[in-house]
Amino acid sequence: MIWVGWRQQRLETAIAAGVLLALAAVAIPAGVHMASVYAHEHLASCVGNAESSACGLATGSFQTRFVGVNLLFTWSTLLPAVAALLLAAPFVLDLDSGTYRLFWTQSITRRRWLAVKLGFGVIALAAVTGGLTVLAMWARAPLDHSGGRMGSSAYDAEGIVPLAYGLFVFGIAVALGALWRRIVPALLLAFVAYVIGRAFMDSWLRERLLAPVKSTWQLAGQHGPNLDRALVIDQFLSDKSGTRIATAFRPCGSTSSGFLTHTNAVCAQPLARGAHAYMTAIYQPASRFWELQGIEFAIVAGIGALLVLLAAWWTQRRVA
Amino acid sequence: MTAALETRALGKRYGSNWALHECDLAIPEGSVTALVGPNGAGKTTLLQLAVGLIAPTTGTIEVLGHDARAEPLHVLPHVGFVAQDHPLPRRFTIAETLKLGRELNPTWDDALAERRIAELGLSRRQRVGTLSGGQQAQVALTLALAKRPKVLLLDEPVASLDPLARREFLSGVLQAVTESGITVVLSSHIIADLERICDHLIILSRGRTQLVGAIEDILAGHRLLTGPRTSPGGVARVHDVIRESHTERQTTLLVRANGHVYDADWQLHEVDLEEIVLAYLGHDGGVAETEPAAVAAR
Amino acid sequence: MIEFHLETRSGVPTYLQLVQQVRQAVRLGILRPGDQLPTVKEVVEQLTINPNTVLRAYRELDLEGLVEGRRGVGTFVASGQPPLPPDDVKALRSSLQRWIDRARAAGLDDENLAALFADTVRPPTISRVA
Repeated sequence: MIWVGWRQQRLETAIAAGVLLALAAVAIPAGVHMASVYAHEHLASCVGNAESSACGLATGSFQTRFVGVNLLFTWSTLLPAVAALLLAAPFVLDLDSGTYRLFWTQSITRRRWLAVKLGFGVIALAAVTGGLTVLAMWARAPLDHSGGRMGSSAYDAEGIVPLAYGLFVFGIAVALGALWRRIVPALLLAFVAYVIGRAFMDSWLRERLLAPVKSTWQLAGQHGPNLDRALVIDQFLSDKSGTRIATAFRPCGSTSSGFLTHTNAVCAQPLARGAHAYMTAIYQPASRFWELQGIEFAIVAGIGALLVLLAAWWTQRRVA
Repeated sequence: MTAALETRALGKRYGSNWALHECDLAIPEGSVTALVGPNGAGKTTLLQLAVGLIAPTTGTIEVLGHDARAEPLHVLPHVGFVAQDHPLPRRFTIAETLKLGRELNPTWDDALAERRIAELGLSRRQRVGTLSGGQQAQVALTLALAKRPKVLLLDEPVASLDPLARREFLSGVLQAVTESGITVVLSSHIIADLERICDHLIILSRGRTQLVGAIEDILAGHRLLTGPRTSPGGVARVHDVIRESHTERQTTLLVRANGHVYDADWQLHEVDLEEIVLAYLGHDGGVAETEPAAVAAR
Repeated sequence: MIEFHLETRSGVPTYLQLVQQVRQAVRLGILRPGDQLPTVKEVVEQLTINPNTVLRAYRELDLEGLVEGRRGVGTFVASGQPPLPPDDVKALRSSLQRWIDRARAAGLDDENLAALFADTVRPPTISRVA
């Protein structure tokens, strides 16, 4: 069954690996170039150096200059989902085309067929998402070093979360495939479920996985925490206790993401009224990267694993 | 005579609908049995139950003395099964399809498989997806036969084939019967040809067995009577009337005879298998239901 | 060697058609003592019929003494086939003629005669079905 499982899945595995290689072909030269620029301009020493506005500007311009790489990895976060759909296809295709009746009437148990088909899918998926993680963590190193890796293009491509989303999509696809035995609607619906699930996680649930840190500081004279690398959930003018001051005031240089970075806060300073103005930030510090990844992995991969088991159970018991 | 396939009070229900109900039958080893009936009669259900693809709702089914659900590895290696529309992985080449059979079956006979492929005039490099329906059916049969099965189950094997491909497919099956004496059960809703291929017959209709027996006995045991219009009372007291039809002046009876049927009041005709099958399929029949059908013991 | 053919519409059971064709061939001298009959496999391939049918026909011929099966070799026409003695046929025919006359006198027409004959020669053997 090992050979059969591999033979039925090798095309899909090759396509997924091909997408990863294409990504690497762009990301590796870009990463090498980026690393040399980063070293050449001594930007590493700027990180966390909030005193120097020159440093802030240099870091900002570095981030702007390589926004393309950032964008590439933003799109690369789709790879686990695409790979999962591809690798779920051989399993669902057997059920759709009726060839499962052929396999189940050879001299093997249904359990063995399930173990090989689903097991091979998960193994190949882990290899592809692992490859993405390694590539992203290596190529993005300078960007992550200066800008942190709490933003989606880093967070969703690094660590263990890519594998979690891969498993999530794989689970949905095989479960729908087992129940429905129609490949096209099963894979389409799995992708839609992925988009909804990830949008929900990225925009709402992730910042609530752990109670965020709230920090308040005086605008005049005091420096707040370094938020460059953090996941900033909210930042606003406040009184000393951190209560939001209702005002029409909008700080200058508001970034498109809606979050104020440390540099923006500096820019807002002259506009603040006197020494009594305070700034409050609610954020997940960069140090919580692995903790957040762990929790998110447990939730998302857990759902995926349960769905894979559901698909296996249903196929074992109900499918004829 | 031992049974290759035996069911007891076998039933399979889907929702509130019995696909197969109270089915008791035994198929003798070495026989070639036709399973006939209209679409939805329960033929596929019976074959899938035999090989364990589905589980019975009631009763038991055993192939070579084992339950395929409970002990798949006691049944599957000895059973060749070709599902309806003979599904095969379309992306595989023929060589890969044979490798599949070799990988998944401990009793695989590679020489037999290769010889059959060569005899069919197929190239090992051809992809299954590019073959004609008849060729795909032959490849599926090769996969089933190279397991060296004791029992071969074929679900509507020739329904989608043209007459020539049908003849070639059945010829392949019969050669295997000649060489290895395997038991064959094939379902079909096409009655023509069955008489020369099969020696036993099971008629299924609406999930129930209507008639089970050796074809020779079935043919010998049925007669068509025609005579002036009358009620079949006298005949029905002695024989089982399977079908009766009347015109204004004439009565026609198809009977299952219990002993001599000669009667000067009736014209006596032999009936062919097709007519008998059709009569049973149109028959609301209490016959097979009142007494459990059993294969003729010889 | 002879080649079998089937008449699917004749209503005569397949095995009986094979038996009759061998008998006929022996009677006509097409098959002589020692000649081999086609193997079961050859007949199956040629006619696409159930091998059990062929075996059944050969077994029947063997019982009649018309052929003899040699294990592992094949089936051969037995030597010393006694042709039907012409006197016997004459005697049989005359007694059949007497029987027919009696049946006609009893009011049976030709079709009824044939039906009664067929019903007696090959009675519906039932009861074994279901």
